[in-house]
Amino acid sequence: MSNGFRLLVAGGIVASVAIGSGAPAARADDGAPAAYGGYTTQAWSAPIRVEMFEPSLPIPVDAGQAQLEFDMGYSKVKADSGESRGRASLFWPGDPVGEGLKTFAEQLGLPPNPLTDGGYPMQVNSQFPGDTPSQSDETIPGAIMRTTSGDKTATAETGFSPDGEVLGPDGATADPSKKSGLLDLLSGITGLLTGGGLTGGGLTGGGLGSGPAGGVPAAPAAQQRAAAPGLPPALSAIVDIDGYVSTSKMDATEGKVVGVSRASLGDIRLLGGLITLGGVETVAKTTSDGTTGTATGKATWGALSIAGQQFGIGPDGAITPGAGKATPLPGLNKLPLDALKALGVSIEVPEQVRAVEGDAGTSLSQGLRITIDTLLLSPLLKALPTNLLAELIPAQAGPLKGVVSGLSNLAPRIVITLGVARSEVDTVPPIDISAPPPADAEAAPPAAAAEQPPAPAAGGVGVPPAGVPSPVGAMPSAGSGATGDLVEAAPTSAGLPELFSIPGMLLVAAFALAAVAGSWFRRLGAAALGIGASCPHGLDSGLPDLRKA
Amino acid sequence: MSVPILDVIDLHAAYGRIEVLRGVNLTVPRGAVMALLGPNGAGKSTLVKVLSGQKEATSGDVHLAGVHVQGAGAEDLARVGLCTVPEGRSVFPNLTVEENLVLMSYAGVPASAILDVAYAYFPRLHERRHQLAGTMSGGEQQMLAMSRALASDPALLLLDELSMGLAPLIVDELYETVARIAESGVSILCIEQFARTALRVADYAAVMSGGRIVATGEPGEILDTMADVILGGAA
Repeated sequence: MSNGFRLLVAGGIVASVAIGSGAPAARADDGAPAAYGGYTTQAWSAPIRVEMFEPSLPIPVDAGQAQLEFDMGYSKVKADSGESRGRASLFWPGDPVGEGLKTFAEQLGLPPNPLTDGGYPMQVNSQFPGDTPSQSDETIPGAIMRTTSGDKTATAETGFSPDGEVLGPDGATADPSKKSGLLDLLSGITGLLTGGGLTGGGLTGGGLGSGPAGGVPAAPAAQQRAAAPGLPPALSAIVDIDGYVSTSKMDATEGKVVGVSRASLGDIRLLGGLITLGGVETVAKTTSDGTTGTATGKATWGALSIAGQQFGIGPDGAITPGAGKATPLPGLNKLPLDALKALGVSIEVPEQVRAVEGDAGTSLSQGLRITIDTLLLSPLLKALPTNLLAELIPAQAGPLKGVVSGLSNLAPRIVITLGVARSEVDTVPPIDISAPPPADAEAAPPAAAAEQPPAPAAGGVGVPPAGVPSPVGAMPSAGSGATGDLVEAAPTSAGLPELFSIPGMLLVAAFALAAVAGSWFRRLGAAALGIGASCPHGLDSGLPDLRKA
Repeated sequence: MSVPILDVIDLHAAYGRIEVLRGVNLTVPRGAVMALLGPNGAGKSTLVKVLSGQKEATSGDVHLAGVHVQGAGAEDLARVGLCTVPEGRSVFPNLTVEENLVLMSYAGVPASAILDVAYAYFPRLHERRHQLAGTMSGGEQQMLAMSRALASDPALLLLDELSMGLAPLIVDELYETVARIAESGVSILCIEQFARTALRVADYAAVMSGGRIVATGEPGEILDTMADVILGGAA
């Protein structure tokens, strides 16, 4: 690509950035330019992920990828310099099925029906710029699916919680004004002590934290806790359960690009979060400031938090973060694992991935992974009356009938991962467009010239002193005066090439001529040997121009 | 009947001592879309490699527009109008969309014409023209790969596993574009696992299994036997 074209593209980018938005894409809010020109980031998480590997299923996937996938709770954000997207789903059947349920139904020969015609129903999506910057679905009490995309930000969260809120991906509340936790409980108690009672804004009203009924003004609507429909808000202050939670978030508004995702399974918060019991938690976080990337995260099982102090339970026992101490749990040996392996079931702790390469970072946190090899169960599958089942399916759904008939021959490998969170970020350097120097800069004398002795009053070519008008038409006398201000200039006319290059050009031309002649003689020889003759089917041999044939 | 643009007769090919193509007979009429279906390991991609000059056949004949072609290289075939979109797309990940397209102008077609054609078929590429190709989704990369193929002004287009790794909705969109390309007179041979989608735009279809063509016909006929062949062959 020519330099001119590059400059044109670069100029277009700069112009579009400057005109299209109030703040440049890669500029921090404080006015300092960020060290990157563009970015791409992606973060997703799922508390429970079930993958089924069965190559004979007619679903096109890349090598090594599962043919079928189910995610119990799935949130994903994906953004680059141009747009942000978010998706949340309580139950996600994988991208191929989730994004193309209608097509799959057609592939299986199912008749048109409202369940599949509108696409996969249990999901919310947001996009910026676009007509859906925010979407949520909370029709089931306590179940949350919501996502919001904005300029260089995107969040997606899903899960189940009585108070209708889940913890954000970085452990903080996604919206602090809504999930008050312990402070909420304390304010509720304060309300009780100040005469609010439980009946004013009580258990069936605005909740413990919504302020007393009389005396103290009620909190603004925006600060009131958003409760799940059908569930008393006060319940969450005492016991709050996040059955399974998946949250993902990206932010590039403050110069640094941050992608973070969190999946947790079985979070139970007592007394407004004073005591938190967690089953499995995985967090993956990546950042990049354009020059250095970071990848962090954690994967804990059986986390216990008391008054903010966290403990984890890993393969070696209870672990206190920071102290690095682990207390082995007695009584466990490998016998149960060996027994499970004999049944085709294996349990392992996946390797956590923290990769940083320059400005790019990738973080993958996974909890426990359970692999079930159903090859051992294939005799049971073969005993299934799949032929009878297939006969029940009408002939119009022929492909579905074929799939059901073939079920007895399947031996999928099923991989269940409890807690998986992935985040990746990458940036590209800004385009350096150096502005040309101002025109008068070239005309200005070099700084060293000021130290030189002044030019003679007559006959010089130096700048006359200020206040002394130059004589009109005055010409310097030949051979007189200083010429120290003149710069030696090389001849710029093209002229003939230098002599030493002519033999080289002749040599290159000779090689080219030899190559052409060699090719021609090779073809001539091939034709003489019969390669150009007609084939066994009586057709001429050669290479036709298909565009003209 | 006009001379078919591609006629394959008793084609054999092998990887070492393992014979993969065992006598393939296939005819693609001029201006038609032919869908070549079949389970994994049937030899579909090997057939594409032989037809596009990336692999030598051990025996058999390939006729292009009624001319016997033997030993032609991939670059020679591309020059005369046979273009392949390989499995896996193979775009330059560190170049922008526009740079990927402009690179195709080395063949002599003006860059502006390449960009016009690409953006006309795939408006989404215009939106993404300054984005690095490696950061685009799989579907968008496939659009870019097809656009690069169109830049060579092909007369016969070989599409290998267009839907590989893509969401079905994107596959639908891509095949709608395939149909539009076919309307412009380009003959297309598309190798596909997503049978029903491919058959929707195909004029003819063939099913390959075990290195041979086991069924040919119109899409409706093939659809009835497709499930038995694919599932039966894989199970």
